[in-house]
Amino acid sequence: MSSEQPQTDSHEEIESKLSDYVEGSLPAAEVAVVEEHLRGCPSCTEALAAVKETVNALSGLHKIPAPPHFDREVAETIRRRSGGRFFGRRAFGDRVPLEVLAILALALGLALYFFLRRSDTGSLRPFDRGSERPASHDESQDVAPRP
Amino acid sequence: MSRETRLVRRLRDRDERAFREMVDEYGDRVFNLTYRMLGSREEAEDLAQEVFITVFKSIDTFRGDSKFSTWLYRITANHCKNRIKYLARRHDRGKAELDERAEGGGDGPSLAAPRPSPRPDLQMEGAEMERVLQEAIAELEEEQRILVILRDVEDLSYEEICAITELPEGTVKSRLHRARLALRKKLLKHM
Repeated sequence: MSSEQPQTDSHEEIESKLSDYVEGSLPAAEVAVVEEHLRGCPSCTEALAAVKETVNALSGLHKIPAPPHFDREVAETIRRRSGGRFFGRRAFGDRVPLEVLAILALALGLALYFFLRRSDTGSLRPFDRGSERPASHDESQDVAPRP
Repeated sequence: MSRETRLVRRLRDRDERAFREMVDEYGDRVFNLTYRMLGSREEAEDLAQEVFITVFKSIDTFRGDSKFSTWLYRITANHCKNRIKYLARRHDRGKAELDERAEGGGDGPSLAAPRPSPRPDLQMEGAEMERVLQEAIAELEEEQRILVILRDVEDLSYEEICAITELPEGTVKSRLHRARLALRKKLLKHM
């Protein structure tokens, strides 16, 4: 193995940290290692200058604003493509999935069924065939005691 | 409930006023990103429109796991990548048809992105350095381009960039470093 290998690894390692070093996001201990290396490495010093210059140049680029009336144009495009049906408050069925609505309807139906079954006056209550009245209807409760 | 959550809820209700608020708030950032990625005002405007249309159409798929702006940037970045590929294919076809372009040599900007259009408004906007930078950015590979723009132009945090690109932080940092060095070389070539 070449004696220069460790130095090469170190060089690449240092270079990979240069962006963090420029951005100030390198831990203090690593900063010391990088700076120590930079003192004796012209190529890494050159790479550091390149990163600094590039970052500075990019940060100086102007922010290009969207064209005037951009929002109106986007809204118009949407309206045109959807034939005018895109905007507008959505119906309940659009916002809640149909599956959820179906389950809710089923649950509601079952609840109503059991409610009517338990009700004394509910029409779903089984009738006593003979009297045509609800089977469990206790007549003694309704009829006033005879004198 | 946060302002962002309320906005998303109104967008889900297809509230046009909410849509305009969203474009008003994020329009410049989306446009700047598309412009820097594509290097052409016309393409950038067209693509930024597509981004907002996509947002509006797919707002129901936004789960709120990330910030809305991160989700929006992710959509923008994906649209940019697709448009760059489309433009490269179109450019290739055009190049094959035009002999004079075929004779132009291989030292020009990458086919993955067009040169900035020489429209008068662009010339007025840009100093020479800005033009040279934009050309150099357009020559970067698409993956490098998005990282340089998100970090050094848009000034986003690494956390946001990782969420947008869905790359680990180490990968973002090493690719960004290579992108900066590559950009530096291209700048020197242009200057």
